Amino acid sequence: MYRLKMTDEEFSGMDMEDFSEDEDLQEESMISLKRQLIASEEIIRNLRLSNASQEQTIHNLVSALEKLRSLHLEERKVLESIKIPNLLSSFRISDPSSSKVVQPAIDYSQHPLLNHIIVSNIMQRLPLSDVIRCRLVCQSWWGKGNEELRKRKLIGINYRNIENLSKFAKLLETSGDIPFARFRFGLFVVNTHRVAVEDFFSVCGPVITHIALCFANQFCEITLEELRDLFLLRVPNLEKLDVERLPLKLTKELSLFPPGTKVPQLRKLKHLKIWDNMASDNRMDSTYSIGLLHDLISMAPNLSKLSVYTECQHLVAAALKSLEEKRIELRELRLESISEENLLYLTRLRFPLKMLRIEYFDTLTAPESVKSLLTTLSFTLEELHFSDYRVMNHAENLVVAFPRMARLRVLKFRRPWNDRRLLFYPLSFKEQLPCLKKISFQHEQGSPPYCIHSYNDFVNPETTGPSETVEELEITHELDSVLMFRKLPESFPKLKILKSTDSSNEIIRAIWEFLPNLQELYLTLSISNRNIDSVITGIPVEVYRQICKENLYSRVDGNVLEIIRTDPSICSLKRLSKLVIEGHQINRVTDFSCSFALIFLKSLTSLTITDADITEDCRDLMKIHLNLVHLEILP
Amino acid sequence: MALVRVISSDGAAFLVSQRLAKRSGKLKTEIETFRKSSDNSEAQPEIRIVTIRAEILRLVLQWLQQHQNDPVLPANQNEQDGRGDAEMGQSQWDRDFLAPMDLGIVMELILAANHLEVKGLLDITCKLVESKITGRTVDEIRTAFKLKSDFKGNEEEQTRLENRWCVEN
Repeated sequence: MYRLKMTDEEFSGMDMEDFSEDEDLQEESMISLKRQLIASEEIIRNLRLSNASQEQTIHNLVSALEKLRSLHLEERKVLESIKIPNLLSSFRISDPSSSKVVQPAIDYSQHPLLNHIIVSNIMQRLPLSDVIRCRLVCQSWWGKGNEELRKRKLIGINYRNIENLSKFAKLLETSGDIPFARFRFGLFVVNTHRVAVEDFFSVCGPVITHIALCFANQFCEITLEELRDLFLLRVPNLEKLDVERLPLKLTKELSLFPPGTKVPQLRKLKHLKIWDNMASDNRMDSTYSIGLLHDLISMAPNLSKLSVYTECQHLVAAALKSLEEKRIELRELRLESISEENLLYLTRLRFPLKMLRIEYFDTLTAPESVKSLLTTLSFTLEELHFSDYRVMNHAENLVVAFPRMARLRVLKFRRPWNDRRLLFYPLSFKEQLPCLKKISFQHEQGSPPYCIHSYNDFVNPETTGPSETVEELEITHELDSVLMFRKLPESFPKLKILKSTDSSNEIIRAIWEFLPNLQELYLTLSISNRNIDSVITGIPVEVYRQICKENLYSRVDGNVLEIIRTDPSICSLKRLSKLVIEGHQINRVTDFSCSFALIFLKSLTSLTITDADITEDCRDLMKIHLNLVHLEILP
Repeated sequence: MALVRVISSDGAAFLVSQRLAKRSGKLKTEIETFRKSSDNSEAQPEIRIVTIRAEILRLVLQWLQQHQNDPVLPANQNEQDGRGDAEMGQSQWDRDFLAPMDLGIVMELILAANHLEVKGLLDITCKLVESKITGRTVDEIRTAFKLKSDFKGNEEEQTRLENRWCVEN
């Protein structure tokens, strides 16, 4: 057995005194000595005495050998007791110069474990288009590819391809391993295609894990009997049921299973999503019958995620009642709106929710009710999505103080409609939200930017104190106050990821200036971001225009750039590893930004620019200058 | 400074600090098992890795040493929020480390990283393999991975037809 020496660097920081006592090391020095002895002897034996210089060399070697021998005479006994195989070169772990190119020793294509690791670790990360191709490589890749497709591919069956459904069923009948498990049915008349649907489910039914139904349209038709017998009763392994829309006359009917019949149990069904039709004029009236909702929930004894998108509070109450009756322990709940009464009901049920999303609170909601709901969830909730508070008249703001949410990691605010709002006060990140990682202010394009209010509640270091845990911030609405933006670094000193939509040029410049530690940046540009190249490069608009107009690109070298870059630029984000810019057709990112700014982002490994006006040459330039793992530029 | 001897399948012994070795999930367990079973708490653990040869083991240790101060990520971080990779980032060192390697060596490293439970190394090596698959044709993939089509009868044709449905719908 031989030993690999560690180099000095490896021992740096180790306690050398302790170390020299180590018996192993003494042993090691002896081995290395022995090796030197053997090596020297070997050389002497093999050399031919042909000229003087060699004689001299040999003389030196021999005397060195003698010297070594006399020095370590005593140790020789020990040395001889250690068995040493043939002379082997010594490796050093940390010395890159010794890392000669290693030759492969296994035939990896035949290695069963390797194949398993590759298909299981890698295929799940590949884009679907590659997974599809990988299915054709060999049988083991095919098998794993099938699994991935069943997890990821949703196939839509609708008026466009319903005529081919029988053919599809026939094809899958001969499949050794049906690779599709997720289907979305809708927009066709079920009765006309009854035979095809039956055929299809007799082949695929047991494989299907996800079904989405969308039949609420004048062009399609489905009856209660068809829904039950053709779809719901033929999928014993269903995991997710998404009832997007059903026709009015169907949802108005009392129940799926006539009284007295046994409700079939889909034990694997974990996730149920129901959307109300919103076809009625009065949005408070549901188009769903309580019976239908009750039956759907009753079919799923192991339900853990429920989404009910309706404004009708009778329906919400019915859902809660069914859950209570069936003693279902819900983990995720998403509701469009909730009344004060249902809020109290939900609080009483004490679900161990990890995720809660409520779009609107009712006008009559009392702040204490929201707080007591959050208190019951304070040890389980990890993700909370709220929209603002819906009011009919000029009601007061709904002011809620968070209890201490011990596990809350993600907080999202979505789509507020008016400025009467849900306000969190008093707020201290450290006391109330000690684990918060991500805050998101989402807003739909075109709505007025009132959402700034919630931004202001949370990004206000004077009142909230800083959060040492928040790493990610998303602002998907127009934020145009630089003053407000400047509070960001103080509020979230650990901020690493910023997603910003429709920010003004001033805000983008402020990002360069105030957030130099960003590691990921997602910028979605809007029509207002004129001269985006100038903003990115920090070259003032007049200079930028002149360079473009007179085609002075080649004149701009490093020195010139230093002089003309007078404003903050993206180059100050020295740690940026991922950059995504969604351009705007009017304000495109061009070669200008790439050559005068992006190529200086040395940490960048992933770059995506859409709606870009970037030439092939410039793309190559970026490949040369940057160590990109991912580069995607779409015109 | 506590040390541990890690011995490769072909008998090469690497003397490394336990702190470094413990960054491998497998070695950590082995060291702990040794501690429990050994009466002498000062004894130096010796761990034989019968599946990994010296040259590969050296590469793994070299990688571990370079990354000894990285934060240890929970094993399921990736699955949890899908962000593990991005946070890790791939350093210049890693790129230089992998650059001269033949695909076969990368494959052996994957096996070693998997066996020794070194998640970061498994990630970067798998990523490299991933890049050999994305955007390639079936034949290119077969050549790169030295795989042969082992489909029987009309299995390949069946798969092609299914793929067409998959792409079109």
